[in-house]
Amino acid sequence: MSEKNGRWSLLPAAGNVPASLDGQWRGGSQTDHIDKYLARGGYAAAKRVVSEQSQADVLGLLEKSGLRGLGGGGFPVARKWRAALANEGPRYLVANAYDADPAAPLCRALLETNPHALLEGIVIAAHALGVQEAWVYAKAENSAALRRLRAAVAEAEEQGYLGLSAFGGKLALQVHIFASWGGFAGGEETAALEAIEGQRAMPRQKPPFPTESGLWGRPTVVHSAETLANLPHLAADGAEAFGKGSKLLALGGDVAKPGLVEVPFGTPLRQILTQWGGGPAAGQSPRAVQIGGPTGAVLPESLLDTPLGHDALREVGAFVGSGSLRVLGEKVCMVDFARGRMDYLAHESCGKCVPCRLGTNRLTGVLETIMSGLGRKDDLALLDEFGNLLSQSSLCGFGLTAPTVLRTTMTHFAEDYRVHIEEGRCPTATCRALRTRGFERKAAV
Amino acid sequence: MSPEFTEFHVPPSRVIEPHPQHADGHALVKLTIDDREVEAVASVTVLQAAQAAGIEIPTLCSDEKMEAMGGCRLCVVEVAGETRPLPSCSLVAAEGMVVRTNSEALRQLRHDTLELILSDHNAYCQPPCQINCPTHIDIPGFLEQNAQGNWREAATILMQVLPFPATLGLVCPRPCEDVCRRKLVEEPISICQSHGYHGEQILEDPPLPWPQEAPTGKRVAVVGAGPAGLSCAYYLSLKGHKVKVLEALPKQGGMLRYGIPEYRLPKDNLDLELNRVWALGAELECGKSLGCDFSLDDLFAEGCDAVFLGIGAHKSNKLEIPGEELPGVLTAVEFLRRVGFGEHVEVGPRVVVIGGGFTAFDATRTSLRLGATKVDTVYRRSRKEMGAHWTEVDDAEHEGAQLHILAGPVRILEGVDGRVAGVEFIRMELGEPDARGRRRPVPVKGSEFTIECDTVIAAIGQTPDLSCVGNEKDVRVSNRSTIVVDPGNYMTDRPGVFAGGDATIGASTVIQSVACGKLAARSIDAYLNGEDMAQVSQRILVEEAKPDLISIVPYKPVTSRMPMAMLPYEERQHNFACIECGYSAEQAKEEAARCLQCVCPDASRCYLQKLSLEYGVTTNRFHDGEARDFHDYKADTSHSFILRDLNKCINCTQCVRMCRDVIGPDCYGLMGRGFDTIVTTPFHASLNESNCVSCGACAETCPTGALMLRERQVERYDLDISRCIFCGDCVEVCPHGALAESPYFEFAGYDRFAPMQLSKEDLARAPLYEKPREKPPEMRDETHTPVMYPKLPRGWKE
Ligand SMILES: Cc1cc2nc3c(=O)[nH]c(=O)nc-3n(C[C@H](O)[C@H](O)[C@H](O)COP(=O)(O)OP(=O)(O)OC[C@H]3O[C@@H](n4cnc5c(N)ncnc54)[C@H](O)[C@@H]3O)c2cc1C
Ligand SMILES: Cc1cc2nc3c(=O)[nH]c(=O)nc-3n(C[C@H](O)[C@H](O)[C@H](O)COP(=O)(O)O)c2cc1C
Ligand code: SF4
Ligand code: SF4
Ligand code: SF4
Ligand code: FES
Repeated sequence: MSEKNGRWSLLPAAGNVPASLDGQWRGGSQTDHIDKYLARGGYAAAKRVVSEQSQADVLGLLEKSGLRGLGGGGFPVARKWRAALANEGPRYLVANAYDADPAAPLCRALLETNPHALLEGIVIAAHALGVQEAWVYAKAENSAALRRLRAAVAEAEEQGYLGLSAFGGKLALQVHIFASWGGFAGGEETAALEAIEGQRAMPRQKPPFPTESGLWGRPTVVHSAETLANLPHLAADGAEAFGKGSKLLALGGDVAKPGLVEVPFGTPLRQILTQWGGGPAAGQSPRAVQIGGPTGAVLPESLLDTPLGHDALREVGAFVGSGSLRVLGEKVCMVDFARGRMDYLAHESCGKCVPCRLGTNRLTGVLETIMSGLGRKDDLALLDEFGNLLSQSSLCGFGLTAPTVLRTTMTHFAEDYRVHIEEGRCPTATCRALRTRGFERKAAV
Repeated sequence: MSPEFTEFHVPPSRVIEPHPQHADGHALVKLTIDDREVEAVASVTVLQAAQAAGIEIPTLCSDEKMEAMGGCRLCVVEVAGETRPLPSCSLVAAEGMVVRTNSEALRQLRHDTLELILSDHNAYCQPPCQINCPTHIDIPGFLEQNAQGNWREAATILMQVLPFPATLGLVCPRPCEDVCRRKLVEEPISICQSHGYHGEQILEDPPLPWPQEAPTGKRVAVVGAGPAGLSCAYYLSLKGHKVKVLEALPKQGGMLRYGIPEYRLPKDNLDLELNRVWALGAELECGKSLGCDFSLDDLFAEGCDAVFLGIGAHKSNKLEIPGEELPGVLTAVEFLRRVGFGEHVEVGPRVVVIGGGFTAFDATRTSLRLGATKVDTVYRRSRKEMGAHWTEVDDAEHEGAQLHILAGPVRILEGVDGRVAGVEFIRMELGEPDARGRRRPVPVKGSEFTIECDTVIAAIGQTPDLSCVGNEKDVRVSNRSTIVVDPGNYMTDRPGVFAGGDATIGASTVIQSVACGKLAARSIDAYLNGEDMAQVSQRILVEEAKPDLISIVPYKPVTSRMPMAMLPYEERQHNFACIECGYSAEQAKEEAARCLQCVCPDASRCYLQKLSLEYGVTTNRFHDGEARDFHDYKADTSHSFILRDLNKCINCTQCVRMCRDVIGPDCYGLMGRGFDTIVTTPFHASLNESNCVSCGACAETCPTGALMLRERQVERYDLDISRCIFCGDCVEVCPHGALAESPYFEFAGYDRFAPMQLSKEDLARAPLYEKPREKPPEMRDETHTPVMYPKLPRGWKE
């Protein structure tokens, strides 16, 4: 891991990166110019792959390492590539650097400080997938990151690492940059495809998956920019040295040292909070953490020994998601917390499918009712029923995971709900009334 | 690319094997849908495969002409091996797939999805008020006219089913208002008083609902000049039949005159209104009583072709307690009738009224007006079960009556003078509900108490006095002592003899009696035309069947109900002046404008309504939220014939895809985000500001009433029909935009529900449209007057 922290670290090594600085990294930029990147051995791995390795070699390497997507879902990269390769070309590649969750600007940091790692990863993937055109999809508001990326693409083209005859003519690869704005749902992979095609950034129904029918109906591989940025390291040092890999996380909430950190997979959440986060914020003891962004799970203190990993998290009903890890201190009422998240989602849904567009809003309303001391016992059943509708029937990952906060708080913090409903008070005495009346069930007149 | 790559270009799964071939050369796949083996052309969706096999899957956002979008989530199906249901509209059928299109879980998902849609669907299919009104007045229709001050038009709408709107405006217990949807916002529309208002405006000069038909030469006798008989007479006369009304009492009106007191219903106006029956040529003969002065056989012998019996329910029910025969014990009907005759009836000074219906409260309040100083009204159940309208109960209390609930009479006490001295009561509790759902009163042991009084008025219901038909054969009487008729055609067992009103249903209401009279008239007319009466019965029953309604959450800004000015309580003492002061024209207009206009011209064709009924969305759990929980859009009627009401839009994007992918102009899109997402034009602009080519395809594909076509006017062009191919090129190329600018030009006549409506010949033969005399309106001009456009369909406002 020490190596990772030195040569292969994705972000500047100088401690946690503050999440709120626009392009001005406190530690100074480490690898932002191609010269610095080359000096650290950059593009060597790509060069070797492009000139010496076959598709099968690269796929073999991926399979051996078991690398999984870092965009949240943790889908095995090799399997995604095989699925794309099973379909006739031309194929496209999209690097998702959108950072849908505003609390976890991981790719923004990556683009601002280490854009060539991403570009080198794109080169490796393009070579293996037979891709000639790739897009980096990012939020339009991250202007510094976009500026840096544009400069990096120009540098790489100039030095022959990108372009129609890169690597001495062995690779033809054009990298386009697509700046978009589509809210939280705009980060979903098929929403990215819609946006790139010139449509409103709304997710598409899967199946068909992008590997079968993506950009303009062609097989397309969509990866988080972070996944791709890990490829050079994997290709250079091999699967063993790469190990389980690491994940960028955004620590936030009631933690002593909030910011972006890079943490090896397998580290227990508790250790992440103490070692990287400096423990809870002054005077706080954590009630819970939320991992994975606005739709992520809320885990109680007792589950903090869960290691960071796709499968381990799945077992406790959580997922890596946006990579945000938020500490919820003593003063956080779980009903209010769930309400706040749900309200955010109700404003961010792309509006395409009914369960998500209307369901998030109605669930927010019911949670507001409970918060306002107007809750009834049957409200819990209502939350369950419509939570189930969302997670069964929504079109995309947004709606399907939208009820996670609700469900995990209802499971792990049932007492918070009970106290609100039965005793008419807030367990942390922080809730204020948001409604004057709750929803009523009424028959057709 | 280097040669190694080729191994992936034809992956093992893609190795071409011989496929089974469809007759026309397409590859086929076999899948199982709902346990049935189904064969489908490869590349069709599961939805299409199911449809082709005759298996129905609900959809709201797919159209075979367009690519699937997957937004409505109604077409979800269970696929073996998948962790959650998938939308069949975008799922490609694959070999060996096992699909289930219906299960309890899927039903629940679809139900909840529809419930969500209806929780933010600010419009309504059908007017519940009209459905609940026994005679089905087109309430939103007349309120719409009222709101514009068109009293005659409003009255014309009303008179189609109710000849006496002013009278009903004063006495109807308003079943319509009980279900008014506006109640879900704040208070119901004051429907009753609204038709009362315009009823008064046309008292002297009533319009006819439709022109009276030419005399048919048929004669009908109507027995009883109450609301049932007179309504029947009115509609039969309109049909051109000769009607004679025979009434036992000296004047017309039945219980309206001899039951309902003057202070609620002034008799001068009543006569003005009832006289419209005679204005149509019907005749009234008073003082003629069936059973005494004539029999049914006499009527037929005189040449009548049919008879209607509307003899009401005038026999008071007995208290069946000791002391009932003492002097000073009256029945309410007898009491009110004598007051109605103009007699001076002595009561009190202390009166006990027993009962909780109209009659009880009329007797109570009449006693007070006649000078009683203490009136106790005693009812054995609770307020909720009272038959009288709550306003009357309130008024009685305010006028000075003492109300006692949950007490039943045990016996009437005799005084030393041999007259009534008081009544002994016993307290009651409510027990199990009876057949009508009213909870039965059960006496509480040992809770007896006495109220002293000088007069007892029993008002515990009336039953028809059927002694007059006792000797008539084939006129059957039920064990509830009502005349038995066919529920659909109102005919008794004796052909040609019909009956309705209180006489067939027992003591009921004026409006129910009017409804009987109206339907009986319809049925008698059919009988006189020699129709098969069994079929007539069927037809009327189908027409009268209560349609199912779905629960849609309404949202409109709160506007409270226009209060009715009432005579102050102190001015009501000892006189019979009418207590309702009536609305002013402005008030009546304002109140009518509150109506939500629960009429959607798309009702019964709308897929959302159809599916919601199918999935039983008869309740909604999201009523009564805050304003921010709902949307209230303004309808866009600026286009010459494409009408848009976003309140009914379900964001299915069929119009978006139709306009963009099939037609081309790309006028619509999803705008806004999250809960506020809505399909509309950019910036909500008028369609006139877009590239709209006025083809109407969007309205044709819209599954709801959100996009609709206005009635279209055809302008005549000098064109050579034999050569026009309706390409529309002339519109495109006219250098002055003359054709495109005209709101009336059209070259397509399709809509979703009818085939081609206009042929070329129609177009050439169409009458010249009369141009407005003022300066021709310009489409893009703000001041452009929509008056130019043809009438809007129901429920739309300019
Ligand atoms: C005191 C009182 C107050 C009421 N208040 C209301 C109210 O506020 N709102 C409301 O909706 N309803 C009210 N009702 C009920 C309503 O009046 C009746 O339901 C309605 O009038 C019944 O209409 P009908 O035509 O069937 O009978 P009726 O109105 O009773 O008319 C029957 C007519 O037939 C005549 N008749 C009877 N027998 C013979 C015969 N053998 N030969 C010839 N003619 C005969 C009678 O004299 C009478 O004129 C009230 C009833 C009473 C008694
Ligand atoms: C609502 C929503 C937002 C998402 N936002 C992002 C994002 O900002 N960045 C990202 O890489 N993946 C995001 N994803 C995940 C992508 O859909 C997709 O799974 C991912 O880009 C695949 O990359 P991977 O294989 O590298 O994990 C989002 C998914 C959902 C449902
Ligand atoms: S679940 Fe539906 S509404 Fe929500 S973001 Fe996905 S497609 Fe859009
Ligand atoms: S709002 Fe109007 S149409 Fe709707 S129920 Fe009430 S009166 Fe009838
Ligand atoms: S207006 Fe368009 S999006 Fe809305 S329901 Fe109609 S067809 Fe669907
Ligand atoms: S989602 Fe398939 S028809 Fe709407």
